[in-house]
Amino acid sequence: MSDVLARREHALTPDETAELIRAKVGDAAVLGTTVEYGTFTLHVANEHFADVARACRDERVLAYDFFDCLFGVDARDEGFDVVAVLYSTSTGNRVALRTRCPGGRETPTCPTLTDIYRGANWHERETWDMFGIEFPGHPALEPRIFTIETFEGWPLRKDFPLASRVVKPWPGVKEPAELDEDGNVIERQPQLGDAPGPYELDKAMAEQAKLANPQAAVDPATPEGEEVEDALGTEAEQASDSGAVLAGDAEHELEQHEDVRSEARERAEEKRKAAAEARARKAAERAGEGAEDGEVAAAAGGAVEPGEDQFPEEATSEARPDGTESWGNESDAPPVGGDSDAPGVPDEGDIGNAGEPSAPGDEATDAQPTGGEQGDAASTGETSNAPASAEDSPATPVAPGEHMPGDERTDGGDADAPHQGSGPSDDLDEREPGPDDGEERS
Amino acid sequence: MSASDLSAREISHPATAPGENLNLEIVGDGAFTTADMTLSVGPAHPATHGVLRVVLEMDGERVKSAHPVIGYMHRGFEKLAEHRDFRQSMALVNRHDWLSGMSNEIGLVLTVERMLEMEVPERAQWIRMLCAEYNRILNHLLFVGSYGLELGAITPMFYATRERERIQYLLEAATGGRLHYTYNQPGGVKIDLPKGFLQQSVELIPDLRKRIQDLEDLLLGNEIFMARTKGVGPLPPDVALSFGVSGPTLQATGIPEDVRVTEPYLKYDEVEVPVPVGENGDSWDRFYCLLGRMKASMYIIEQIHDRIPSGPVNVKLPKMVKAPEGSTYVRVENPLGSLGYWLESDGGRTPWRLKMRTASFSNVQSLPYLLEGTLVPDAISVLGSVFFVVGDVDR
Amino acid sequence: MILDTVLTTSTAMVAQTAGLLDTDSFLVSMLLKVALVIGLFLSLPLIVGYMEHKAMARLQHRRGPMFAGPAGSLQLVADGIKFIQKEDVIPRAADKWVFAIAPGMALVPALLIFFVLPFGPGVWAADLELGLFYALAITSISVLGVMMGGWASANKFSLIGGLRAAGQLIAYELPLILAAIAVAVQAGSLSLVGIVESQATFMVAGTDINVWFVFPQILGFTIFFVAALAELSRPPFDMPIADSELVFGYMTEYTGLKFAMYLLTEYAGMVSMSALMVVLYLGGWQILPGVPLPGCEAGGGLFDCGVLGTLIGVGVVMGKILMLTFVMVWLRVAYPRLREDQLQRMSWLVLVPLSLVNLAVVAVAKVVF
Repeated sequence: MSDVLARREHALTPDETAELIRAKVGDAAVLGTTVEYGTFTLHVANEHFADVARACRDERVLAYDFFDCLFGVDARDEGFDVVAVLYSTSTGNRVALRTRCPGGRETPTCPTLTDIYRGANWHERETWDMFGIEFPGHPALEPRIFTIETFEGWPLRKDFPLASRVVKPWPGVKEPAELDEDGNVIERQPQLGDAPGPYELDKAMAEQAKLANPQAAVDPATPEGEEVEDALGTEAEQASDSGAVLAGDAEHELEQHEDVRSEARERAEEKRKAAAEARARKAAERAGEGAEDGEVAAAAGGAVEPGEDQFPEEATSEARPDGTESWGNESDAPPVGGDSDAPGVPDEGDIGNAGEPSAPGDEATDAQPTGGEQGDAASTGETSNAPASAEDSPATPVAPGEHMPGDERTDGGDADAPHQGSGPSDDLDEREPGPDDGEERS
Repeated sequence: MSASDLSAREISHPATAPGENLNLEIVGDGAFTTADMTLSVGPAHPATHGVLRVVLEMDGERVKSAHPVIGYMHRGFEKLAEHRDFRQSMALVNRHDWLSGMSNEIGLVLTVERMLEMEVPERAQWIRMLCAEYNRILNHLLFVGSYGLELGAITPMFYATRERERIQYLLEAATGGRLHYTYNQPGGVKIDLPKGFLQQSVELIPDLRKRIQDLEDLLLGNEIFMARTKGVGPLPPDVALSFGVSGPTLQATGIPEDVRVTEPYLKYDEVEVPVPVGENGDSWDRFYCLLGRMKASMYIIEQIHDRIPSGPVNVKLPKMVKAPEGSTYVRVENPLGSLGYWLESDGGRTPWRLKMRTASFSNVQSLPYLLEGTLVPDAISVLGSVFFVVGDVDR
Repeated sequence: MILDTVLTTSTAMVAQTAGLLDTDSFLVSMLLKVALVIGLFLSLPLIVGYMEHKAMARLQHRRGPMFAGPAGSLQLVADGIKFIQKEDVIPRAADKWVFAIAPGMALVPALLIFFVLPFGPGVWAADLELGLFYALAITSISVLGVMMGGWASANKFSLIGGLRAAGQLIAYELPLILAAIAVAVQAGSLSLVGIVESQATFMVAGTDINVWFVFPQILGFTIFFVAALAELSRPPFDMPIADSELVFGYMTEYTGLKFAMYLLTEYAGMVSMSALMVVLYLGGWQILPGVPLPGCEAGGGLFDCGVLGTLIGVGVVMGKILMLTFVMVWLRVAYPRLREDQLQRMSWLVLVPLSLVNLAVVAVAKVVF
């Protein structure tokens, strides 16, 4: 049987296909066609979805015999789309049948294709599992095919948060939605996201994320959304589905209301301040334990390696016996010189330094290299030092005041903090956040 | 074919193994009736290489019905991809089918490039092809080895591992990765091939061809192997198409469908791509197609050696890769079958929806059909010959 | 190995007293016999196992064990120590007593068969009149232990494995016995020593070159070999274990020492079946047809040997056993596994008729000539 592409010459064009379907199934069946990026999409009325698929399979000139896939797409407020991709081995044509499910976001339903294509079975189960789209007539949508049987919610819906970001916020600025055109940070909460902090901070951040959601989920079409420049518009929109932001069902309903939004914003602001204070307190406590102040500064500046941050006691005990040496014996730290001369007083912890990002001497830089050396600095790169570098780089052409007046995300003057002109951050600057370093090497 | 066709199906398992002409048949129910047994093969079972679970309803050793249970390894790639930009996703997609990282990446970059209408340098395209074909051989070698293992032949696995090592060595030199390459990026590949790569590649192919011939001799013509696979788990072509089965499993049914031929991407339209075809769609044919595809890949690699031009391997990317609004569907020939990406973008940096249509998902879906009425050893023989990677099924 | 030297010297001593210890006290002879049998039982499977490790490795382009002892020769000892250290897990649903007894049940018959196997001139514990009968009867008891283990594990894979083993035994005991009977008919004796002797005195007409039974009964030998493989569950007939289908068959739930006992059973079975084949078909301890052992007088130059002759005889038997086991290993490396029903079909439709034909031909020939 070598009839693959045997009838390629007789393949119908998209318009002819639509005409044929209209003739066979009825004018109401086809709502329109689009051909974009080489993909032919046939928009089908939901009630005729199965009929159209059947016609696609049975019409000799169409002969879509290969069932490629079926899946759902979140169509924002209008509910969900279901797309079925069919392919014809004889003509080499592909069509994507796309239909909008009635029932909005509450009870989306779609006719089943299981009695037309065997392969539709699992794909529909998957679509139900991921989007909650019912397929009346399907043999057995349950049990859930991918998630566990007791799972609640529909994971691929946009209002479903990315669970991993709820459990533990990403300890750095890596969400693409948080960077602007030049790869600079536009959403900065330096006090919270700098390094994996104590559990309270994580909780606070998760709380904040939850509160921030209604604001973040602004429809770009709203006046406020139009004010912001394009990048920010998308950024704001994506923030709604980025995991840093939670959206429960309740919030989803509320998000249309401006006042609620601003209120939430205020609350978020408060929360964040509280968290910042808590953090400062923590840092102070650590300083009180007798750590060398350079280290304290580093800790407070957020440029501490995660590992170090989690074992402050160990660090201090190491530092105590000989104040001048402290971190110098760390394997990956640069030569000791900087430590010994910068802050000579080991015990009188200069807490004042703690708050200033400019203060960290070599300690802060010591902490950085491990992160900076990771490949693909821009996209997946550094972990803990990312906040620091973001803080350090006032190179952001978008000044914080400009891009979203009154938006709590352009947080204060932190971005204005003086550049930290030490080695590793130079290293970071060389690596442009945006593009890959591939070009240089090629 | 209609709905009734689907429900009422004749199960025939032609006995073509030597010495099976004298088929003993028990007429009627036999002297005493027995209760069925439910056998849960997996999630941790040697034959499912991964965490696939197949629940078999059995009467004695005969499988009355089979229910694959998947999802033990669902990692939510499609959700994760919505939170990453396209370059970050590159490190994501080479993990769902961990044996075909290169093809997975190529599928995604092609999708992104198509939406960006990006011109990719010639050399980058040839390099992608070269690596993808090597990756295909890697993948198939593993399945050749593991399929032997499932039938009780332990040696092919060792042979295959040795050849895999050499290819992995080569690919590691080019990409830095042995399994997850992250070598592609929109607009080209990360870095040019290292010096001496092509030379080594040219030298490797004849060796490889010889060794694969060894594997073929060891298994394909082996009497016991034939007795175990000929006529086992036959898949009719129309059923295969209806299930969306692709790759060697589809080619075994006699349909020479190969994306590289029917919808050429990269430079596949400039090289000759042989497509092996089976006859009955049984396990033996599937295995035969697997071996045939390896030979085809080697043939393609040899053509690439002659054709690969010099030049740049990537383009300067904007700092932010943003696909314009719209959607597209791109299909590439993964080692295990057809891999499709439906990318729907709202103009942002992250995809609005990235659907991965994976070959294994559709292939595994045909298991209930294939396993019904087989014996347990044949069930394993079928399970192994419908080549799948559990990560690719569950995503 | 020290054990081996001790063994060889003791066996030599035993053998010197020709006719195996009719002399002296009953107690001494009894102790020596038991020591001989247990020593062989514990050492031969290790040697065969090591050979399997190394031979398989070479056939698969590997090196095999390399670190435990010189060239990995103590690997199996190390494995044994490891097995002893393992936790002895008994599934909660298991039938505890049966589960615990089963490996021993499989092991003991494998040990008992060593009592009648002649490993050299005079090197045997007992020369029973019904030696062949005893050997075949004892080998089939092993499967009882396998079935018990399969049943008691409370595991479906184990159960299927146990049942397959039983089915395999029933199917292959018949051709095995029929093939052996043909030998007994030709030799005119059921005593294993007697069979060796009759091979040494079965001459090609007009010469003084004797003929091993493998030549007139090549068909019977093949049947016996295949049936022995199936009975031992060796690949390509390892369906009771079938690790890709049944996880590990009847051994799935076993750990530690019990698991080791099953393994030991398998390797001891390989040795004893090979020894049986050596005795029945390959002329026992004769180096080549027509070549008498140095220093041996009676029975066609195979009996009443001195120390040297005994040692050479034992060496020859060991060499033949290793050759046969090597073939078994070779098959394991080269072949996939058959299906259970194909195996049964092969037994009932091919091997049983063939072995009957073989028996008939031998019987007719015996009467005619």
